[in-house]
Amino acid sequence: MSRFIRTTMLMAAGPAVWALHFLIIYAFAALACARGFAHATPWVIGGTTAVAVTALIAIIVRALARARQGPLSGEPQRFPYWSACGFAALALLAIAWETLPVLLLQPCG
Amino acid sequence: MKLPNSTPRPEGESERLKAAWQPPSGWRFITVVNNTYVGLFYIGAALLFFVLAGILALLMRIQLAVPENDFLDAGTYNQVFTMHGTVMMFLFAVPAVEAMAVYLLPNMLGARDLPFPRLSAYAFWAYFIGGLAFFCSLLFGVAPEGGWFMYPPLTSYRESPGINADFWLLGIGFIEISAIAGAIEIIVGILRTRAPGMTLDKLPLYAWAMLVFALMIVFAFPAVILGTALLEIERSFHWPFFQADAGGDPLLWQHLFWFFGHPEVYIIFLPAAGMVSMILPAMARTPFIGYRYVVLAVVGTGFLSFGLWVHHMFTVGLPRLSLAFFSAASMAVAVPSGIQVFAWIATLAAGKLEFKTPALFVLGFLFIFVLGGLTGVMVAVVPFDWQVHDTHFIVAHFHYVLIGGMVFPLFGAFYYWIPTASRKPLSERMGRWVFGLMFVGFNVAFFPLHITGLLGMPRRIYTYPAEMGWDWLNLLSTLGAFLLGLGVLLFLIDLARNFRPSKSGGSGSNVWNSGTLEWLPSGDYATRSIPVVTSRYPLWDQPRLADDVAAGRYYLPGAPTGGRETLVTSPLEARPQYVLQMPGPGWPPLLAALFTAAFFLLLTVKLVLVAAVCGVLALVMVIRWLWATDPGPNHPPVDVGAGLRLPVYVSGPSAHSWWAMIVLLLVALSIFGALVFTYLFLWTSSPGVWPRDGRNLPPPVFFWGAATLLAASSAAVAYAARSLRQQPERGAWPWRIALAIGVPLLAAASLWDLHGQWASGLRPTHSAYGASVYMILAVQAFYVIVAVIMALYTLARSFAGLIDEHRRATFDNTMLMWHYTVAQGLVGLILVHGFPRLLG
Repeated sequence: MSRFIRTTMLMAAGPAVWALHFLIIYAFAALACARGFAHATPWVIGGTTAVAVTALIAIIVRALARARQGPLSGEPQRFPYWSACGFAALALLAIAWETLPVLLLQPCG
Repeated sequence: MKLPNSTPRPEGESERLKAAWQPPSGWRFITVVNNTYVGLFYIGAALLFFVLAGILALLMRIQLAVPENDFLDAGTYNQVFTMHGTVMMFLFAVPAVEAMAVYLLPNMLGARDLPFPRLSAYAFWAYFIGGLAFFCSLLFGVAPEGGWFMYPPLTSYRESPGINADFWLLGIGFIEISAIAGAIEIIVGILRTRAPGMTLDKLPLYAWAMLVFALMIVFAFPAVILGTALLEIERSFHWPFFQADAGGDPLLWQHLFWFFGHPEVYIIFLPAAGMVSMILPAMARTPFIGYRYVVLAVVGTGFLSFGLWVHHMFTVGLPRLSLAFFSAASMAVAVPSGIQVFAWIATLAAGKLEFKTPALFVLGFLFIFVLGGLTGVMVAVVPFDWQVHDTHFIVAHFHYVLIGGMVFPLFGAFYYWIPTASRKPLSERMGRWVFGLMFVGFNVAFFPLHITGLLGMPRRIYTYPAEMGWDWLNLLSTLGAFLLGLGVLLFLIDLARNFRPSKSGGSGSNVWNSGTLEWLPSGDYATRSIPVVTSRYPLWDQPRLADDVAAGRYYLPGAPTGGRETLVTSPLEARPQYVLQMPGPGWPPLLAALFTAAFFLLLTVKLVLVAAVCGVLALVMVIRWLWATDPGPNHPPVDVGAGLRLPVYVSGPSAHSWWAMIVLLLVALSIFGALVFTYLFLWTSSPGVWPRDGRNLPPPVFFWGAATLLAASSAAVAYAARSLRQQPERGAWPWRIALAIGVPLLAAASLWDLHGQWASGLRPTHSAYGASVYMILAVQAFYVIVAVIMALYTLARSFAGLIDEHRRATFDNTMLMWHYTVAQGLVGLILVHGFPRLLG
């Protein structure tokens, strides 16, 4: 059962990072405009994105490593690790696309 | 491969299996719990609501066919379009895809039924009875009229003083219950009751889609559950969540509703996509191309869809950067959808398509859905949306994605899978006519709406002036709508003429020569034995599978405990773990559903006392139903084949009921998350009504007291959990007393906190701050009541001798709920007492 939990956590890690990143950038941007500290927004978003991207790369690396281990003892399936890698890669793409507007737009207005 | 069991099978084994699964006869048939029958009832009910809501659409189209028409007056038109949307979304779309899963999933996975058969029966009856009563509100002129998304302040007590809005808010209640119940079944069923050998990479794509569907329900529905509760409480008790003059915010509703509402449409679409992924390989006679990419796409769509909701709110005045995040995410979600489309095209290209009716509906789906997706990307562009928001362009977009993306696959699925349920297949000839009329009718009805929308025609207007230039386009739409309706009528005629329910898998044979397990020969007991699979298309790759399964050469070919059983397998590799004993038919789930529906509906018409009585009766029926569960290891381990002796009962984190509890607690956590959001959002938009400098807050003794009481009650239950393990040596009293002590501790925590707030002078009707605080207390109180009832039930079972150190699923479920309630309470305390002090 704990292997199930570990594997599920790895598969869920990419989406979780995306969700947390999205929550932070949206909440911060909204609060900053509502309370008048919008000048901080690009920095906070940039920082959050840097952390998120790092985390996702780490997840991808780990998942790829587990996938390559292949049919060793206790790891008969590559598919969950391949999937974990795929979900994290999609999350990376989404984060990049969503964060681009910071470079193009004023935060509020 | 050596098969698990050998033939000939013992005398009487097959008869005992049949007897165990026999549905009840005569009028008691309605108490049936077999997933095939409940599934068919469910699909039938969903179709009924589809037709009813479709008739409402035709009424709307008649009214809009010519300018300044007087077929329906404005008030009636408002009720009709509100009910059309509400019934289609809540009583047709989600139930239909859930119904298909109830019917199909167990067989497709190699299981004999869903893990909690009476729960599906309950979910169905609550939905059916409640839904019918809800629809009847139209006949009495009290149907909701605020649009299917019911925005306050229009739908609050000042602007909508009648009971119409209450019908919607309380009427949605049992749909929410049905959806959550279905989600629990599907998650536990897919993860724990698969055929041995069905590892995750061999899981049918439909099952992947349904797993994502169910998880999405778990995280999305809670937002609307909380939202409807808030609006109903505002309407009934005037707690000002959405009243701006008291610090409330109408946008709160929009956020909560659309956080649910956007995933909702993917909840509707993904199962249909899953069905297409099953139909295509059979129709194109080739394995699916791009399996792992479609899994990636389905999961990717599932999580990205939670980042789109504000695209329904582009025009409300949110900060520019915020809009951009959602615009980007809305475009990004097209990537996984596109991956699926390309995989389908590749599968079509790799195979040789049989142009039978199911294939026609799949092709129609591809064309219409892709068009809808393209207009979706258009409206993801914020400035474009600012032009077309609330016009018929949007109406065109969502009908293209919903009818194209869900209705067409559904009809294809009917034509495809009906041979598993009916002695006669549907007519191929009529099927072509049904498809043709629906396809042409749909496009003639909805394509012009893109144009009328761009020409400025708003949504939800009951008529329009002649000089706008919208008249010919509207007339054309109306014509198309009737063609579409004719197609559906023809389908109903085909169904009436040819659908003949048969328990033995219809014509019996795999008419499309499909490769997946739902096409195995089956009866009320599903398959005679539970197969082992070695690939994604077992019927193609294991040529003797059907014969061997029917002869009983695979796992569990009989009913060793004399009752209904299926195999529980491990979640990743699907290794057999234990035998799941499942209940048979009975009245309690049906009666519980009846009283649940009655409770909500009577509250709506303000017959509070009678409603309360029905609520209590519903609870009594649920307890009656539960009392027969948790049988314990009442039978020695059984021989399922291949030398495996499996237990018939398991408790602890491996048990299916533990898993169901965890899913339920994820729902609870999501509701609480929405509540925390409510508090923080209202603070963001109305800081003026929040306490400043810690003034007027209850003194810290209330926080510390309540927190200590909560922690103590968790400690008591944790002690009880350990003591239960030692029941043989120490008896039952230590743990019973510990659990009993937990009860007043938990209740006292809530009462102490409530006392603190009340004594400070805060009232829920004063401001949105007061409303938020008391809502957090109220939600906590609800969980406390549930936990206390569970504890009392657990103690009752113990006194009846039904709990011991092995037979403890009831206790474990109570324990899980307990610790969750305590944790929720602690977080609530920190938020309510800590946050305002943090602000200084």
